[in-house]
Parts: sequence; C-alpha cells; structure tokens
Amino acid sequence: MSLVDLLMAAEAAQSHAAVRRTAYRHQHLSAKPLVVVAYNLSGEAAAPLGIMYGTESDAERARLVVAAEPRNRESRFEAINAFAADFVEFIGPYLQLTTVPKKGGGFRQVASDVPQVVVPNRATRSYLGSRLGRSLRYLGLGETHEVPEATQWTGAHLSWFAEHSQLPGQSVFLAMTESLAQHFATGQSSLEDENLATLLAWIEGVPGGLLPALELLEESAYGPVPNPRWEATLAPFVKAYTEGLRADDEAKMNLAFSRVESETRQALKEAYEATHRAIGILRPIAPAAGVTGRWQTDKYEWSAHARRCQRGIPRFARRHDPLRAARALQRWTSAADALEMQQAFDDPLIMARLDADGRCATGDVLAIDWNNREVKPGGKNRTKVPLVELALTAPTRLLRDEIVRWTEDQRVKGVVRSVDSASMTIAVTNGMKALVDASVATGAEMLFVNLNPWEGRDPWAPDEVPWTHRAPTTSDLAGESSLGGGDDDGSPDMTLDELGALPIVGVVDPDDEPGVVL
Amino acid sequence: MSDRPDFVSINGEFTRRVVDDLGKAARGEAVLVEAPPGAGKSSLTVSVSNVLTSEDARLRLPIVTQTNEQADDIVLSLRRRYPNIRIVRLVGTSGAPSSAMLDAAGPGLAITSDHDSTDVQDAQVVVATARKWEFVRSKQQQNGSVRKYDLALIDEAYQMRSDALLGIAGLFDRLMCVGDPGQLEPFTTVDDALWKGLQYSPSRTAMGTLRAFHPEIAPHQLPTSWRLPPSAAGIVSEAFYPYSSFDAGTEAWQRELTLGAGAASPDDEVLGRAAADGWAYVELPERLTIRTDTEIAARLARIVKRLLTRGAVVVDELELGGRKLEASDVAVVAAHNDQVQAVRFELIQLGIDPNSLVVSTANKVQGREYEVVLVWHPLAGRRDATTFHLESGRMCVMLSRHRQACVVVGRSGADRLLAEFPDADPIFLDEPEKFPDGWEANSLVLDHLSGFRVA
Repeated sequence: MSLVDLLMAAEAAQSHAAVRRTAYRHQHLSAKPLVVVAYNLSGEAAAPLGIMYGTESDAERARLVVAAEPRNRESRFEAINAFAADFVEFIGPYLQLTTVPKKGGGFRQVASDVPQVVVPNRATRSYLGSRLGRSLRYLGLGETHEVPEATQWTGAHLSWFAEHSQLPGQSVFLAMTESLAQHFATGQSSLEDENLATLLAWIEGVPGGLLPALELLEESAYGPVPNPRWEATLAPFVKAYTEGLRADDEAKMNLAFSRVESETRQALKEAYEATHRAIGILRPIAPAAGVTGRWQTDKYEWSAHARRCQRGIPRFARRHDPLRAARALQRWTSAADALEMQQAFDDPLIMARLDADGRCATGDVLAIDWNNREVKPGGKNRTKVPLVELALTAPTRLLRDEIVRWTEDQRVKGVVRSVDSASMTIAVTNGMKALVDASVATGAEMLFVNLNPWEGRDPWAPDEVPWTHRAPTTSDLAGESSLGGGDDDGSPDMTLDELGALPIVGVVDPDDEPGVVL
Repeated sequence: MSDRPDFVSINGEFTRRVVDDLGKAARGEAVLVEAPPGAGKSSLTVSVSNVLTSEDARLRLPIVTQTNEQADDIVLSLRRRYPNIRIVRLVGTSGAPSSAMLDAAGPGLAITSDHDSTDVQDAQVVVATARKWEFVRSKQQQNGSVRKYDLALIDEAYQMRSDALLGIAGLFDRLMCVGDPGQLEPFTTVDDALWKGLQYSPSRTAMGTLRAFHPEIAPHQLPTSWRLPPSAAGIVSEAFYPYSSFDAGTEAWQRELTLGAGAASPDDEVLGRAAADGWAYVELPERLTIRTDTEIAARLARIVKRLLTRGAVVVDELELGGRKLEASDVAVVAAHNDQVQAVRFELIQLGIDPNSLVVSTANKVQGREYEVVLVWHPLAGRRDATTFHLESGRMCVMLSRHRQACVVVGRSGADRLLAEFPDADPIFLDEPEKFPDGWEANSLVLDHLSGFRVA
C-alpha cells in the first residue's frame, strides 16, 4: 500500500467518511447501463434464486425472475429463460453493424455502440459471466438439453463479457465495489470494501454513527451468495413448492412461489437500488482524458464479437488453446502497463501516489547538455541525446539505468545515467523535439516518473502451436484426457469431433484491427 | 586433489555429452541441462557453441537469452574464450545502448537490429533476447514464410515464461536449454487463474511446459558449483536442490577471507564468524516492524562499513596469492525495492557511496556472483509469511551469490512465524506442486542459520 493510500485510509477512518482517491473518473459510464443483481442458491454452481435487472433506477420498473426451487430444472430454466429473453433484447440493438472507412483504405464493420452491464460486486460479475454464462453456453449442443435460442445466445454473450472483463481498463462489465474502491478510500480493509452496502455507507454517510451502522450493513452484501439466515427463512416455501409439485397441487405451488418471490424481490430491490446509487455517485465525477480511448477499445472488441454474431451463435472452447492463452496473457499484461501510465498522466492524485512510492524524481534543472551525441542501439550514427542534470529536491528510489518520462510531456523519455543523494543525470533518448519546444530554463523544476510500457506493435502470434507446446505424436485437442475425467466443470462432454467442429472465438479476421482483438 | 575432477575436465565432459545428444536429437526434441548456482552454465554454453560452429563451418547458431544483460554477458564470454567466432548481437529497435556492447564491437562482433542484414547472414553465432527472436519470427511470418533454424541454445531457460517459448519455438527444430531450476521463476502481473492446470499455461515456466509434453527428456545435471564454497554448497543443495544434489568444486582450504585488524565490537564478531565459517546470522530481537525496518537496514550498512574499513584479502583457487577485497565484491540483497532503498540511505549516512557496491533485490542479482553477500532475511519482522516471502527461488538466489561468506540479518521469531502462519493460497486442480517447497526450504535454512547465530 502506498503512503498516500495509508494517509487517505487514516483520514477516512478518523472522519468516518470516505476520501476521494482520484481527481477524475477512470471508467466510462453509459447513459443507460443494464444493472443486474442476483442471488444464487448456496452450494450450487449456477442455480439462481432470483435475478433483478433493468436500466431504470426505480426498482419498481425493474424486471425480476424467480426460481422457487432452483434445483428443479423446470423451475430453474423458467427463470433463466425469461432473463435470457430480456437480455438478448437488451443486447440486440448493440449488435447492429455500421460500415465505416478504415484507416489506410477499405471499409470495416463496427458496432454502433457498446452495451454496458453493471453489477454490485466482483463476485456477482464472476457469477454472472463465468458461472451462469458458462453453464448456458453449451446448451443445445450434442447430448445436452434443448433450451430456447435466446438462452444459448445469452450464454455466448455472458461468456464474452466474462472474458472481456479481464482486460485491464475495460468499462463494459463493471463491478461497483471495484469502481467505487478505485475512486474512494475508506477506513476499512479492501476485503471489507467488497461489500457494497458498507462501502456506500462510507461514501454516502448514514444517519447516526457510522460504526454501529456498519455492523448492521455487513449482514447484506448484495449477492450472489445469500445471507444464510435469510436463505433459511426461504426453506419452508421452497419445500412447500416441491411438495405442491409432487402432489400436482397448483394452488400450493403458486402460494409457495409468491412467497419466495416477495422475499427475493425485497432482498434484490435493496441490491438493485444500491447499485444504481453507486452509478449515481460516480457519474458526476469528470471523466479522465484516457476514458474515451479505452471505451473505443471496448468498442473495437465488442464489434469483433458483433461480427461473429452475424454468423450465428459464437461458440467458446472449454479452455483456451495455447495460442489463445499466450495471446490473452500478453494482451492483458500490456493493457495493464498502458493503463498504469495513462492513469498516472491523466490524474495528479495517481501520479502523487507513484511519487510517494519513490518512483518519481523531482529536481531543479542545473544544466542541459544539448550537444551530447550517442549511437543508439542498432544505429550507425551518433545522434543527439541531451543530458538533463537535476539538483534533486525530493527523495527518490530511482536508480541508474531506469527508464523515465517527463511528467509534463510523456513523449520525453530518457534513462537515468547517474544518481546520488543530491543530483541525477537523465539522458533524453526520445522526444527531444518536445523537450526543445518546452524550452525548459535552468532552475526550473522538472518531475520524471519511472513508467515504461511497451508502446510499439506487438509481434504477431504464431500461426500454429509449436512442438514445445503439444505432445509429440498427436495433434489432438489438448484437454482430451480430461474428457469424461475428474475435472467436470459442468459443461457437457462432447466427442473430439464435436469439439473440433466448434468455431473457436478469438480467431482473428483479416479485417480486424491489429492489436485490439483477442 | 588428483582424483577430484577439475573445471576443465567436467566442462569438457559435459560439452561432449551435450553435443552427442544434440547429434542424436531428432526434430522436435530438446536437450536439457540443469545447473546449480555457479556450475559453469555459461562456460558450457560457450564451449558447446564453439564445438558446434567448428564442426560445421556453415552453421549459424542462434542463442536465446531472457534479458539484454544476459545476452551481453554471453557475447563477452564468447569473445574472450573464442575470439575467432563471428558473432552478431541482435538488438531491439528501441531502448538504451549498452556501453559494454558498443565497446566490444569490432572485427568479429557486429551489432544490428535487422535479422535480414548481411551481418547476420555471415555470422556463426547470433545472440538475442527471446523477445527479439519473437519479433524475428513475427516479421518472417508477415512476409509469408518462416525460415527455420535447425538448432538453438536457450540460456537461463528456467527464467523463461511459457508464452515466450511459444513465441519462438516455431523458429527452431531442436533446442538445447540450459538453466537453474532453483532460481526465481518468471512471474505475471495479471490474474492467471483462467489457465491453472493447463500444461501449456502461458504463466508457467517454459521448461515446465516443455517437460510436461516431452516427459522423455532426462536433463543433464551439472554436478559441481564452482562459485559456492564448501560451507555453502551443502545447505543450498539440501534446501533448494533436493533431487539433484551437487557439491562444491573447491576444498575448504582453497577459500580464505582474511580480515584486517579489528576490535571487540559486535560487528567485528559478525565478520569474524563469517570469515571463519562462511556464515553469520545476526538475529535482532523479535519485533513486528514495517517493511523498511530501519534497525535491519542500519545494521546491514554498519557491517558493510566495518568490512570495508577493516579491509580483507580474498584467497581462492583463481587468486592463490590473494587479492584485496574491493567494494564491488560486496553485495547487499533484499526482497523489496524499498528495503534496498533503506539500505542505500543508511550507507549514505555512514559516508559510503552506495553505488560503489551492489545493493539490490534478489530478482536483479540472479546469475551474478560476489565475494561477500549480506542478506536481509525476507521474513524478518513480518506478521505474515506470504508465498512471495516464502518463495524458495528468492531465498536460493540470496544464499547462493557468494564465493566466500554470507551474512544474514533477520529477527528472531521467524521460526514461529513459519510454524504458525496458515497457508491461505487457493489450490487448483491439475496444477503441479512446486518443488522444492518454499516453507520447507525456509525451515531448513533457518535451522542451518541458527548454528551461526551472532547476537
């Protein structure tokens, strides 16, 4: 934890009120995001008790689906199918493609807009995408149960959302605990910040004392795992529903259903309203400069999904193959590095955090040697590499050979040539013109920060799995041994032929934008 | 002494074995060499390169390294040992120039960023980082065809991540991989839970993936550490290389650290113990502290100062007559960057230029060696024992950099922390166990250090 974060946490703890961590909002917020809150039956992978969703902050206008006995297939899928039909209706308009000219000639099809789904906490995001989405995405294939097409589509869309949510800096699938904790510091631990109820209390304040209120609020975390005490109160109704089902007693079933529904509605209503309140807290904060560009990246990637949807329901492999896994890791790592730098340059409070961590060097310019010339690697000729000599005015942890950028202009990049307790010399290797244009005077203060994400083009991924990453004699799909084996993740077992025949999402089309498509 | 194999004969023997195996290896096969710290990995790589290039005058041999520093090191030792081999150092198109390379350039060594240049076509050995080779492969792929090399050598293969190997393996039909399995593993900054249990998980080590798919590969084990003194080889071998033990290549009498005149201070006692036994464990009183424990930082700085003030003479098998210990022969190693900074600060307070010696993290001193190493024990003053602090690779790097003596500064209570702190890491299906186990290795090390305790 950085010093700045410690101070903010101490300030929040003392004043019993959250403190703003950033000067700007670092996530995109759509005009009408779809808010989804859910409770799942404990102990089950993907058996929703109830899902409430809608784009209006008024919970009375939100939709609710309830499964009175989620362990019963009919009951469960009645709820899931109803949700899926509405979800597909929400996604529908975003799948519309428009044709726009490409840079460098030609045309490409892009989605007109990107859907945004907002959930109360990270656990709900993982539940909705990785568990519910995954459990639906193979239905209708092979020996599996038939479900409406909308349910299959929802499985595919949720799987895309789940995978895309791993991209650092994305705003398509937001968990409000994560977003609020990024923008506000509280006096509680980051584990406790995962409870949206208490996190909101720190930010919004509560009538009376905060600490006693937190004790009560900790009882509710807004899903997807229900509070055991609350869930226990449902048990008699769930049981009555099953009894009614067995006895073919429709009146008993309906009564039980309505009791489960009203209980679940009450619980989900709180979570639904809280999620909308969280959006309401973030919305007025001015967006950081980089938000638009990152939303554009979201749009490119969504467009790739939308284009695949033109050819039918996109299918997802059970596991990434070696090429896709390696590409995803490299892509997410470089996105994380780029995000770190973009946020630091967008937001003085984030830059201050890096400075407090010792990753900046602050000093007054003693002299700039404009005439220094050096041969750059791979080059033949000596080129100008100005040497900036600073009298350090603040402590730094930067050492020799570290790459730094000027905080005023990130094009100005250099390497620390020497440092002692009082001075530092930086050789400016890139952005010399920007430095000249800034006409920095002797005695002026300069601040350099140690940030160096890879900015060039990434190498192309290999077009086939090399011999080191597959068994020597077979070209079978990796994961064959697990078919019918012990690691049952709930997805249906398919024969190798069936698996092989699935078009795997992630194959790059020739007209895909380089670098933005997984 | 005569029955003891010497460096030259062991190196020659393993060079012959590796070259033989390479000759027998078919396409899609690899020869793997595992080496403990200071076992002469780079010498082996250099000798194998020499034999291969002299057997086949038309051979162009790629060498893959993990970092630019490692690439520079290999080029320099090739130049020193076999100045007649024509080498190209292939570099990226961005980044700062390495002055060592620029100085070494001349007839027989070209530096270029272009794999299609005539320099590369004419060379016998092409040295570049894995990242650069990935770009070479990518460019050839964009131009329509990948021109494969028959054979490549990968240095420090255990520090390579699986995705890095995936990016370049298509360029090479056969591989020779050399590495130290006990060192720090490569890491990822993003959540890799998605790929846990997959043999080809991109966040695994490259050697983990290669061996999972090619279980028939039996690695050659270099048997001797030429760096570690006999006092250190035993514990390092036992704690970090339980399945491939190794010995020191020297006898105790061959290594000697003679200190200048001292007095009866606690720091002198520490140095005396280290000089006599090869180890000293300074155990400060038990206390929970913040990460940058100033007491430990100050103590490390004081011991360094005392060592440099007293001066010392280093005698070993290379310097039979002895030579003066320089500041650059001394390193202070810590787990965290802020601890490094704390030590540097304390050194400045004592009037020592922290740049005159090496003060660094374990990650940055991998592959380096010094005469005397001072270690900030990763568990000192902590209330938790996380995977990071228990990682056996980190401890192994810290305890295996020295040729003469190692001084560890910690706090008492570390043994209790090890016993009491519960392991809360998630367990993933199909994910192989890591060996050696960090907890066990740390316990063995603490046990060993307790025999060299100085107040």
